[in-house]
Amino acid sequence: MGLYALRRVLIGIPLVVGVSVMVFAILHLLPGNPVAAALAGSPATPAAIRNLEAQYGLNRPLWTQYWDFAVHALHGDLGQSYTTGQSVSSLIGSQLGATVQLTVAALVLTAVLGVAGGVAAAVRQGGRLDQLLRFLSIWGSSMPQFWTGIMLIILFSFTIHLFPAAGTGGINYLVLPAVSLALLSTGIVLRVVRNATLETLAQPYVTALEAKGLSRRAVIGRHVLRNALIPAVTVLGVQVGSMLSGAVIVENVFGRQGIGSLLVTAIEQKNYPLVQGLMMFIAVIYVVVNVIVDISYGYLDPRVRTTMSEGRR
Amino acid sequence: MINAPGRKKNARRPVRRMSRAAIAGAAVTAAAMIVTACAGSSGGSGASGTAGSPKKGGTLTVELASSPDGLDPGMIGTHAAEEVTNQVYAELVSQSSTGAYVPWLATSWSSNADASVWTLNLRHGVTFQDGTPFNAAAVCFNFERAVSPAEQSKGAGILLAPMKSCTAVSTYQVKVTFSQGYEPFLNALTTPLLGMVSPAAVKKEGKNFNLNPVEGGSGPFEFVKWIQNDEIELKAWPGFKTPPAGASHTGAAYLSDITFKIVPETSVRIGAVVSKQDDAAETILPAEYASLKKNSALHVYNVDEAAATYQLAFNTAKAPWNDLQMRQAVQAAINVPQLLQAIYFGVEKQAWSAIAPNVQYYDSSLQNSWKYDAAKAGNLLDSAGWKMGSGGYRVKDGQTLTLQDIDTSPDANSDQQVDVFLQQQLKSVGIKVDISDMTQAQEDSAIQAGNYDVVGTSLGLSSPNVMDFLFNSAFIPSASSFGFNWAQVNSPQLNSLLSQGQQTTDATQLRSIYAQAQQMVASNVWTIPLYVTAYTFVAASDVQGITFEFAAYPDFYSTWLS
Repeated sequence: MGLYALRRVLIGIPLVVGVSVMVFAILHLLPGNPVAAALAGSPATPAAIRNLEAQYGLNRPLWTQYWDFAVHALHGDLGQSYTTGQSVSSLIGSQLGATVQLTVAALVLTAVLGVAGGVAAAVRQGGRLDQLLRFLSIWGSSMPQFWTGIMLIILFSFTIHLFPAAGTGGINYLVLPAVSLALLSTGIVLRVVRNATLETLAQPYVTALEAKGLSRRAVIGRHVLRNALIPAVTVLGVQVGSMLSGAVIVENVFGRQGIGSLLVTAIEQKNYPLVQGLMMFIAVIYVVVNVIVDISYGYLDPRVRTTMSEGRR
Repeated sequence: MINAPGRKKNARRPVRRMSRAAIAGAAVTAAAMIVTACAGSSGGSGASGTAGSPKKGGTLTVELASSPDGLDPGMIGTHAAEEVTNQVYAELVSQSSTGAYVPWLATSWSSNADASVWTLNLRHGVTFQDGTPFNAAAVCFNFERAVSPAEQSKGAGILLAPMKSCTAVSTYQVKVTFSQGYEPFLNALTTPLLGMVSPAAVKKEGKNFNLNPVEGGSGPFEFVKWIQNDEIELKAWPGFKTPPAGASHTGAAYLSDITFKIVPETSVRIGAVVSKQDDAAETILPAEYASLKKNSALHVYNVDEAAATYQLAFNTAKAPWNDLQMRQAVQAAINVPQLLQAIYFGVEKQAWSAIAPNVQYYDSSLQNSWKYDAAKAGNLLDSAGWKMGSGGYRVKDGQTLTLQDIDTSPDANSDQQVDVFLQQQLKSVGIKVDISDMTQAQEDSAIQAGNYDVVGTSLGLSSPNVMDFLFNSAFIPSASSFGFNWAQVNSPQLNSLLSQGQQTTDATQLRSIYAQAQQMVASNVWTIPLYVTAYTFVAASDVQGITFEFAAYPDFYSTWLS
């Protein structure tokens, strides 16, 4: 298990490096001059432009700039915001809490509702509950998030005055955004869990267990669930990435703080260092989460561990 | 007043505006309509007209559509930032409701004959929020930091660009010298970008002042805290004694606090006011205008901005649009009232000049000076040799008559809808409009390379001198410099007129100069003015006393909650 985990972590490193190259390349190869953006289109003299370019190090060869960026990034220095001069890392740090709050809440909702719903639907296959849950899951994962977000606000904030519409704060402010963010992932996880449960329930050993006299609840709880969780965990890992991008929309719709709002503002303000830093940060999070998912996958499914440590499958 | 608010695409001033990332889709508009339908039906009684005398106290919550880029007037560049700083910092000069310049922190002012040297006399006994005295040295500190290259000021720096020196002649008298005549200086002094900041407070906070302007203000409200992307809190400054001349009251503001919340999604922002969660919000969707006005629990403000109007600029350096006849044909082919009603539902009014009616020296003789006339358009095109071809478009020498229209994505203020409408209308007279939506950066490159036939533009400067930025040949964009003369106008006569306008303070002369300039622009159809940009603001009926500056910023000094 330890070796398996180590391998997953080591594979993550070139991934992160590759991501940093891509993030850097994207911003520097896109049309548009970061200096022009910094001067906000004002009629600047050529001397002022050259000055700023030198200050931002934009007149050096591209690979030198990348090396600088990478080395600083390793030390946690992602540059300075163009508009306010704050360090990008401290900006991200100050906004991260709200996004973590939101994402964790949404993940918990997804995990609980998705797994519970999926198992329930599978166990009552074909019944009304199954049909309802299947419909809800397709609906939840098909509707655009900004629309479901606004619909939730209209229903539970404007019409029935249950929750505040916008803002960051305590649990009150978290419910609607978390539900909105979770809807898409819950739908997907539910379907995956349902299918996995159905597959498992059809296995001969399940019949054997029941023949032995084990209660339905014990069969599901002790044997079926673990197998159903395997694909669910993988899907959840992917959903974290999807939630980070969904957070951009949800934070915008609900007027919440967070790195999603920060990213939107940074793009609007053409704040290149901030956009770059955020992209880097989000991509690294994504890689880290997937490494964790891979490792937990190994824990849940012993077959993966043994095959992996014996060499390539 | 350098900033044009709202969702203008390049709501440009010489400082670029932030375009909004509008995520609205059809579903959102539908959602918004449901919100207002639900709320409208529960409209009910609400507060009626006048509600007695001002009450002290209370917190006003205002929702902004985007995040400020700072709270230091000398450094900011966004409309959202100016809306907040407008409450915290006082300016030297103010404008009355008729547009006349009235004293604020400066009691009087004068200039030499060609407006290259200005003398400002300051009010005595005024202090900043940190207790330090307001005087000539403080004024020069403010001006100098705006033009200092080390500070990289975006907005204020542009306004004071021609400044050569600022001298504190005595404790309460300032002398400002410009490299050439600069009459627009007076108007510049009224903008939030030149709000007076306490030198001591700036020195204390250093670079952090832009994010944490503690006690640095001079206006009725002081800064409490700013939680990025969430909210900004201000509280009334009890020591405020100096409103501008003609204010309805003196002394501290009525409100005890203001909270600005950042809510980018329009339907949520407006819905929150309709459902009484917050007191006020800016920028409504034009489609909601009519139903919001009917809601008796709300007051909708539709304020014309004193700025350049939204106009379509022809690339007059490129054939066939260098031909006046062709430009006149396009102008006659656009049914502007129909366009405005279909897209803006009555929120934006038709414009007739390059500047808005509430800009000083607006030439009202230009009102109704042209109208929709498809037949006239057809005749002009025919006589220019462009005959209707088989494909429904006009051809000449084997070429189809095409108009390349560039615009930015994401859409700001429904500009893209304007493009599509244009395409339809011009098609009916045989002109093919090719629309290219691109990123701001790409549009800037295209403009600098001259790769366009027409592009929409507006600039958020509130003095008639905005025409200089739009039409002086010095500002024609090129590969090496980005200017705002997108119509590529190169007229020595106009250049000279606009330059004269900067070098005199004689009102009669100025009126004549700017009238001539506006008429020149109009008769040459270098641009086609479409609408006067407006700023919309909705507030609960029990919020009294909101006033708006000429650049359409709300002012909450006299606001109270009934």
